[in-house]
Amino acid sequence: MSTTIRWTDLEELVDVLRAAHPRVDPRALDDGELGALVAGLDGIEVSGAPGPGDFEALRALWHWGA
Amino acid sequence: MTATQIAPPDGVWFGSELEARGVSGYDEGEELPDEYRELITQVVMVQADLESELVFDSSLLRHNILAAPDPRGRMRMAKFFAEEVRHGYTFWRIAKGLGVELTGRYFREAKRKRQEAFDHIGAVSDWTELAIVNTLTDRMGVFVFKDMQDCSYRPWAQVSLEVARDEVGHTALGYANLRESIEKRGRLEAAQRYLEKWYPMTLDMFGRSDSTRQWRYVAWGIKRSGNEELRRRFVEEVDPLLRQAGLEPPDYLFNRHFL
Repeated sequence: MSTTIRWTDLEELVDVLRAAHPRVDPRALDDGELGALVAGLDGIEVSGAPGPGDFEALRALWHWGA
Repeated sequence: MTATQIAPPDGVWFGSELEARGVSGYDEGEELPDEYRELITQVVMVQADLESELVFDSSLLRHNILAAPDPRGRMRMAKFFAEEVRHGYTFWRIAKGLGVELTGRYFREAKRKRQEAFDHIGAVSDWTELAIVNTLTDRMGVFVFKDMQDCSYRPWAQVSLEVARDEVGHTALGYANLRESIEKRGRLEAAQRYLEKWYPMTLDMFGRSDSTRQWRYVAWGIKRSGNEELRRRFVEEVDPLLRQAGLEPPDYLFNRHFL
């Protein structure tokens, strides 16, 4: 059973990423590496595809705190 | 867009004036040629005029932080501004190294010609407008500072590298806030209105396309690119982001004051 999060729900996605990878500095990740973390989330299916600026926004929300 | 000179004139390239003198760059405290001192001081003062004032009057941050609609947003903005205050201190320190002592009185009484946008930012109290401001003006900062990462004034080169990295985070946070404001708070119409206010002001902040001074910055190895080149690269990057958020960027020449 998996939970689905849309790419547009960035805050929700960030909460899940931060919980799964508490020691990661998102600013050190490029888009490919960040995408791999999203794709590898246990029990989470991320629907849709990232558009221009999505990785940048995700990285920012993660970095600037919960 | 109009046909405008993007490349430097013949005989001018990045650091050409320094090469002619057999110099690779300058450190703080070194004797500087008069024109070089004037130009590097101008570069530092443009940034200090905005961010160093925060070191003396933090009330300027109040409107911006309280514009956030929830505690999480306010916490993020407070962290954001902690970095801006650090930048302000750094610019203050470098100005001092160039012999310019910036004081609270200076900022209160300054009659310097400030960039138009700078005077408006502190008054922003609408969250969506602030998101537009950060998306645009902080991204402009990324372009400007990345362009000076190998500045011939070595203290400024080091600062530019750090500030550019921070500004990437600032503009990305602004963009995330903008997306949230449009998608979750139904503020598309307001965002478009604020975009039409801030987009031309941000493009103007890159400077005039026909400035002769811009090539002196290049010749002295202070800046790598001319104003129009940086402005066009900015537009190429930011327009797709704005469209992704559901906004329509204004025409390149719309409401521009400095072409």
